[in-house]
Amino acid sequence: MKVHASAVRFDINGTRLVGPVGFAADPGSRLAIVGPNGAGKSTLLRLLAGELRPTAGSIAYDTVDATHLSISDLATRRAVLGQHQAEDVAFTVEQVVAMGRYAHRANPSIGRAEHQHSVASALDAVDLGGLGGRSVSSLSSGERQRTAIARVLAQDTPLLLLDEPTTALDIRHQQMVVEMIGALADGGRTVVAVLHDLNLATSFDRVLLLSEGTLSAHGSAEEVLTSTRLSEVYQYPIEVIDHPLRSGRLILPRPAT
Amino acid sequence: MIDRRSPAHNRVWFGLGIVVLIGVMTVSLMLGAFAISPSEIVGWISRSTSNTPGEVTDRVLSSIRLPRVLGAALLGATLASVGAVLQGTFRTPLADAHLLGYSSAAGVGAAIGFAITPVGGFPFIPVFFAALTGAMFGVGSAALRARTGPDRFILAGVAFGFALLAWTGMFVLIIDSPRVPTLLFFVFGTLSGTTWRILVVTTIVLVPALVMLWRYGPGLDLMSLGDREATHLGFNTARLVPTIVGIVGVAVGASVVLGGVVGFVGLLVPFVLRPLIGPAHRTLIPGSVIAGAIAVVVIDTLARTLAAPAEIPLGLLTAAIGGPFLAWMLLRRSTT
Repeated sequence: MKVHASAVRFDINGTRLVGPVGFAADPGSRLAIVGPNGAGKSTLLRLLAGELRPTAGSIAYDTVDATHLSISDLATRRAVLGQHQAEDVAFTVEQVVAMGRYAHRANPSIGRAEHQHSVASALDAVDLGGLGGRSVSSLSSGERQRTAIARVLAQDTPLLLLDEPTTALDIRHQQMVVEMIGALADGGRTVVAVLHDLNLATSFDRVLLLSEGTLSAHGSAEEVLTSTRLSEVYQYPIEVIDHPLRSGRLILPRPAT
Repeated sequence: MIDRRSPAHNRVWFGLGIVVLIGVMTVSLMLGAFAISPSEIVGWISRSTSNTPGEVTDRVLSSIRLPRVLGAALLGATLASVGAVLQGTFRTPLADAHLLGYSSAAGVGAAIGFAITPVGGFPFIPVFFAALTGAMFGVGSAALRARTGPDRFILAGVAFGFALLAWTGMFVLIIDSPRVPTLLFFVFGTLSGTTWRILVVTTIVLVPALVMLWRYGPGLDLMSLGDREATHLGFNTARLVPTIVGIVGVAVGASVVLGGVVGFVGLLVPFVLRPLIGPAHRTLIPGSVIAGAIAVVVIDTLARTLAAPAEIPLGLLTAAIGGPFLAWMLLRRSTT
């Protein structure tokens, strides 16, 4: 599914939080949204999710305006990983992941076995297969984050909107998530992720650099993630160097001294 | 920590619960102003099925004790399951129809409804008014919750509850009508006036209300992740939360006509059940129906017999037993 933002603006009490921004993400592509704190990344993601209504402009899923879709229609088209995961959840990991299937329950052509298969493969994809029976409140924050990612996968939607998916994850599980996002895109899904770790963004097809709610740059990772531009937007000296061991680049802060 | 709350595990709990419920209801039928033996109960059942002329005990059983025991079961089932629903909706174990002011709001409607209903008639008007004020309060509380945090929301409910109870009390005292139950009924609740007519009307309202709430179970489960997450997953919280708490208000309204304002059952029963049968509402709501019925049948039997021939108001006993128990459980949980 293609997601298309055209001239989207979002104001709250007269203050401009986002926009105007325009861009599109094609099916099978990965789009990273990066930028400093308060640049409007999460707000933009909520607009893309159809959760906030743009003050001006529009968000379209293929040709349908996202704000015209019902809550349950939205839930079968896009899955959202929020920035914070509730801690005091008494449900088990498996029960929470199965909640991702809620919007599909209304569809009689999906049988019990298919629901169970979705849940099991989502648990495996985030390496939680052995923890299905644990209560979420007993998990570490990284395990809780992986539970939320599995729930998003179980929702089985053509569009995935992920707000900082690697938060609280150790380095191995961060890489697992990056590889999982690659596999989802290869399978034809559209993945839009807000990222803080700029090095993770280098593996994305397109990067959107936000600064004070507007597009500072939009293009391939090589085009957008340059030393000059990042230093300007983040207001801190940032170096972009070639990886010494393999192809690709490394983005590092340059300490003041 | 492997989960033991499997479906098979829960079937054992449900089976056990139903057996215990039938047991406590039978014992409750036997106890009262005078004791009735099991053989007399068997005799009563066979006589009423074969249309044989009855004895004195039959009259006591069929027109006094049976409606009261059924009323206690229905009241307990309602209070406990709406407690579970409110806790799921408002994402706090402290949500309860009594604590959040729903019962007091329904009390206002019930008092007005009783005042304009002839004595002895079917109490459709009190149930209607109580359901209306309960539902209005519920929908209002959903709007309030959207704008305040959980702590302030609960305290606001407590404050409103006190005010509404006071208004009901003043209304009851000023109107001083034999049609309206006593102030005690609205403050502490009692099943001493339960008749078949009250039972019929409240059952007509409560059974569909509880079934509807049960049907929202999977959506209530999603609410545990947060409003935003529930909406992302396809549950329209903005529309369905007011609907759900409106139905809760209707159920609470009927329950207040049945037994007055009774607290603690809705807090305590789901609190005890969750560790046993899990938090999923499709299980928790029927579990609360059974366990709430058991709890109130037992407590109402104590209310009738402990100080016989005097009767202890039901809500006084639920508070006397439930208050310290709840405090103990909350404190114990916070230290582990």
